[in-house]
Amino acid sequence: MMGGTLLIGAALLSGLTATVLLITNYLRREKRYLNAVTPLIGVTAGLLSLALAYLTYQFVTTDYANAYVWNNTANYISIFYRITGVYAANQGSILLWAALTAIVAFWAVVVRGLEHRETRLVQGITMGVVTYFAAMLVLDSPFKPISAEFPEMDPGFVPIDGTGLNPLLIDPYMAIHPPIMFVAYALLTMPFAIAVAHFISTVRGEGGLFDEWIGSVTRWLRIAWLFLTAAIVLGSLWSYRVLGWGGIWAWDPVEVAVLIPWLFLTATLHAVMNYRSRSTYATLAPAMTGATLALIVYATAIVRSGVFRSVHSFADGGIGAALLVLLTITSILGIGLPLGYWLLREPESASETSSPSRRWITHVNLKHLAVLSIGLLGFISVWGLTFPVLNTYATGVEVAVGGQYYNLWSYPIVLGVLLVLGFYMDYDVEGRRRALLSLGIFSLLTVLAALVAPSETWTLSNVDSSDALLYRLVGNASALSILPPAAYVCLTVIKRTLEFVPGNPNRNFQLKQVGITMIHIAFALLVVTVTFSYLFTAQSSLVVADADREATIEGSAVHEVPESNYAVQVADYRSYQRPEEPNVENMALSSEQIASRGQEIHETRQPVYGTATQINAGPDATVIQLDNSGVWLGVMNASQTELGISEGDQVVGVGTVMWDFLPELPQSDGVVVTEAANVGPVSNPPAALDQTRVEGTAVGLTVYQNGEQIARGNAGQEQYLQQGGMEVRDVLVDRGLTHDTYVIAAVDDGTVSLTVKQIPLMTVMRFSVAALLVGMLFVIVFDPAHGLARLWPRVTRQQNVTETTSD
Amino acid sequence: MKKTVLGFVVLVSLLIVPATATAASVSGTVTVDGGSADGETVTIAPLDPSNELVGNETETTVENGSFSYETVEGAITYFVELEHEGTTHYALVDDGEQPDFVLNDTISGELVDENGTPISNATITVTSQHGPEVTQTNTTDGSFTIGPVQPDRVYTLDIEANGATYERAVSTGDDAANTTFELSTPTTDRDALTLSGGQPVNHLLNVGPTQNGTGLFVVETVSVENGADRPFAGDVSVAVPSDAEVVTGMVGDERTSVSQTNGTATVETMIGPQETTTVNVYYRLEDRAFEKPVGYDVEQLAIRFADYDMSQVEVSDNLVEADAPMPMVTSTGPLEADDQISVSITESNQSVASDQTDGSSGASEFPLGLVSAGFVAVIAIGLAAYRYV
Repeated sequence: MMGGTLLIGAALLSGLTATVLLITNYLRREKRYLNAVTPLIGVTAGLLSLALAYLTYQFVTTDYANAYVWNNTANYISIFYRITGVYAANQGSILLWAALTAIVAFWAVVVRGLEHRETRLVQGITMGVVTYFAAMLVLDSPFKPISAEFPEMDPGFVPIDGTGLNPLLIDPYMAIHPPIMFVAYALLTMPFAIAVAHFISTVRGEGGLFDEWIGSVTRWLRIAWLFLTAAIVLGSLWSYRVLGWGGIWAWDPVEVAVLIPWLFLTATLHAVMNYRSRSTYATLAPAMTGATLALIVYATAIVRSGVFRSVHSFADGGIGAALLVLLTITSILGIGLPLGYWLLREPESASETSSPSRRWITHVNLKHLAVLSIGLLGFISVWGLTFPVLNTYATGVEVAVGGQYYNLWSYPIVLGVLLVLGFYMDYDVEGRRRALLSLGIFSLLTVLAALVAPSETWTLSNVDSSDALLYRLVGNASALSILPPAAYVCLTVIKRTLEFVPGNPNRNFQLKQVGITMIHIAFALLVVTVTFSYLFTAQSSLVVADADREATIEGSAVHEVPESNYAVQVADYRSYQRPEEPNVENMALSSEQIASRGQEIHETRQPVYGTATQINAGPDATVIQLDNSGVWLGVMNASQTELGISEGDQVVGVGTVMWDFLPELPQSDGVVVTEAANVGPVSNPPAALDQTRVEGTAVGLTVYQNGEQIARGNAGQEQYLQQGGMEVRDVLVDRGLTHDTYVIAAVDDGTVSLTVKQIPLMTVMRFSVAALLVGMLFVIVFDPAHGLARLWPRVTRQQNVTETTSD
Repeated sequence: MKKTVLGFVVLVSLLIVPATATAASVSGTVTVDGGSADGETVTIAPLDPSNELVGNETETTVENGSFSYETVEGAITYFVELEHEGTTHYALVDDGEQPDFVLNDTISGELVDENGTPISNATITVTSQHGPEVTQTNTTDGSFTIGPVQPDRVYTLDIEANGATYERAVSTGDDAANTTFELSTPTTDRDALTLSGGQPVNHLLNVGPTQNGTGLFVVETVSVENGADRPFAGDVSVAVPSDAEVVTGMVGDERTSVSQTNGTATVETMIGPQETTTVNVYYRLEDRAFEKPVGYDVEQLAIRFADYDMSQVEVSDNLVEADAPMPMVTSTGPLEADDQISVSITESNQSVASDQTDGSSGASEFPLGLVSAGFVAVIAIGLAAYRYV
């Protein structure tokens, strides 16, 4: 049982040793026991992976001797969701994070070795993070024995069934979202370590190491961006299907908390690509790189610690404090150190004197603007998330920051980002005068479009005169204003691609530019589709009173959905429960199991089943021998005829196990004492044995639009009885080229309340997201300067990339 | 350079403060006789003119005998709740006023029966004049002390004893200390009860379809008066059709369980002296017809129909269609407890409307074709313009 914790403890030991060796070797400029470090890191990664595999094994085999397993799964849950139960709560997900980080560290040390002195510092910091996680896990282990949950039970007690998995997590998207997220988090540990090492080295007057590591930093950041984006996309797809989350995005604190590192990572990527030692971004690029992990930890602390009241506090308590400590450490190293260096040590105005040109419009300044704008977007989110907490502590008054705050503040900045992006892409290939002219034209178009709202739906928000000036100004603007900047970006990006790509002899450069094009066009389309799909979601509803009866009729009535061009027909109506066919053997103990557990279950209530081999009826009770064993079922105040059980029947009952209960019956070792209501044949078990976990109702629907059938499928709800009756909706989504049809059904006793939503542009949005991911993949692989294609299979150091390859 | 950047960051931070932040602060005090409320929780609920909650309730704690909270725009009164050592106190303050809690009074007394014997085992629930509960206490020997409470207030004591509930009001600063409450032992004598009151009659049946539409759902209501000088605590029964499936019952506003035997549904009831209460029994019938005894001697009995019109309804001879705005029948004269009444519903020729709309929030249709054509056109024209201009 303690095996898992021992594995983690061993990992803590080897991780700590590796960290201490690395740091002392760096500080003392020596190589003592350095050969041991790589194996030590490998052992740490191996042990953590082994612990993770062991935990997964316990989940798959439903080993409820582990309290964490008992808390996060149940017998009826399929193998797939048993595995996802591993990271359903805090300890398991920290273990996943730790194992992934350790693997990343091991990979890095194998590829790079430890020859260079700074490498030891970088690895020391990475292993420090791993060690911290391991320490957290030793203190709050995912391998706690079940006795922690049931201190009153005798040692060795193991429950028959678990409590189940959070119903929100029983979803294919949610199953893969967390591991991808943690891969991104783990990958970001490396750039964090490199950035912190850079500042430590700079402060110590050793010149920093960012110049040398820029390629490595870029690759880690890009791959992490790819995973983080994929994770957010999966999360959005999930919230799209789970009702009550307001579509793909709801500005829930947890969503904001993930958006912050994403925005910041995006800004960091732009800053890092323009990093030049001793001139542009000499401090800012490494500083932003370092801060990203601090923001990740900040986001995790929010999700896990319960500081914020979120719609989905997946897990709370305990681990919060440890994460807050980690947040403090990463903030000091990732934000405090660079900030302190910038304020106290950086040579003043070195960057200004180095650029002799006094012109305002330069590539460098445009990139400044891009980094600043994306950073500002991130800041709006940080502030929206932090302000309520600060306000609560400062004044005791709770203020909720709603979606409107984020939408209305972010919108003008997004427009600005698009215009700057378009201008940059234009300026890259056209002259200054022509680029300025088209910027002027598109800015003017944007302002004009903001004034044209064909109907109320087009305005961004419903604001009233008591709102702040900016809210009124932005809120009354027309969503049409998103189109000119987005078209501007598409236009200039396409033009630049046509200019750069055809005829270029370097195949990798061409492919990278295609990637860049895909990313930026996808971004513009994403902004447009998100805006319009929100504003133009049409919704109407319908109640079908006798859905259960209609379902039985062939060719039953087709109901028009009022105020829409939809119609629906009820084709099926069913109630079901899970587990579907409760197997008595999974829910009750055999007489043999009762006997083997012996005194540990004395005077506890247990379910038992077996074949009735002998029945003795007394005046006050009927006793039934099970399977010719010493275990009997004693039914108080019931005669054999009342029970309707005869010898040879398979019986099952729930009662209190009493050893040496009937001394006058020598063949009985113990009796399970119960009453008539709690005993029955196996074919019809008593209600006390009812182990129904999920009660679902679903209707089969055929959906018509303009008279044509567009979709068939199920919609309904499932109630999780043992999770406080929590309800999860199952929706019917028809993905169409121009719009999705989204049907929610609330089923209650034959009556079905249907809500039919028409959500436009979802397919374009899906396409954009795919383009975003594929585009980044192209950049990661084919970048002539830092791409994997060029790099593989050996590591080369790349310095002073030529200007034309930047974007 | 650095100062400029720092200044800019500070400026942006200040600008982006969400617009909700401006609010005035109000402070209140808490004085406890011989004690302190420091560290205890105060909950503030801002209310608008129609007493609806504005925004969220907020919580704060008492420090050095005072607490403070922010005013909320749109609120004209504040309902302030103070928890102190297991008791809860309330103040309703207008905007601009200061809530002051003074806890220096006590309510105490003794519960006795009509012979002056102390009553053992009673539960006393104290409610404030604003309605919510202040505290609850048990007594085993009839004597009790509650406090500290606020002076010059009217508190209501709901005393549960002898299987009945008694209501008494006390004013602090007046008669609150050492009062003797005489609680007469309740009667179980059914003869004390008569049918009286009730709208529109004192014995009413509401008949409508069940959810699946094949059977009937009946709510039978009798309005009962306790004519005795002491509470009534015992069973009240309603005669139901022998094939009825009783679902639930209600006495006054409270749901209660019903026991059913051979056409009688019995509900445990408590009625104060000279008071009237309604007893409701809800039951379901497989078929759309039933016959049952009246159950009580009654001046007038009425049956109301929901979702059926009178052309569908057939009733026994002792019932006749009433002159009422809704489908209803009444008894032709007084009925006796043993008289039988019957109702049957026939299938109507027009089907019951099964589709109901509960509104829709329509957004205008998105002009996808137009917008995408415009979008592509802008790009195409732009590309052409760059090439040829």
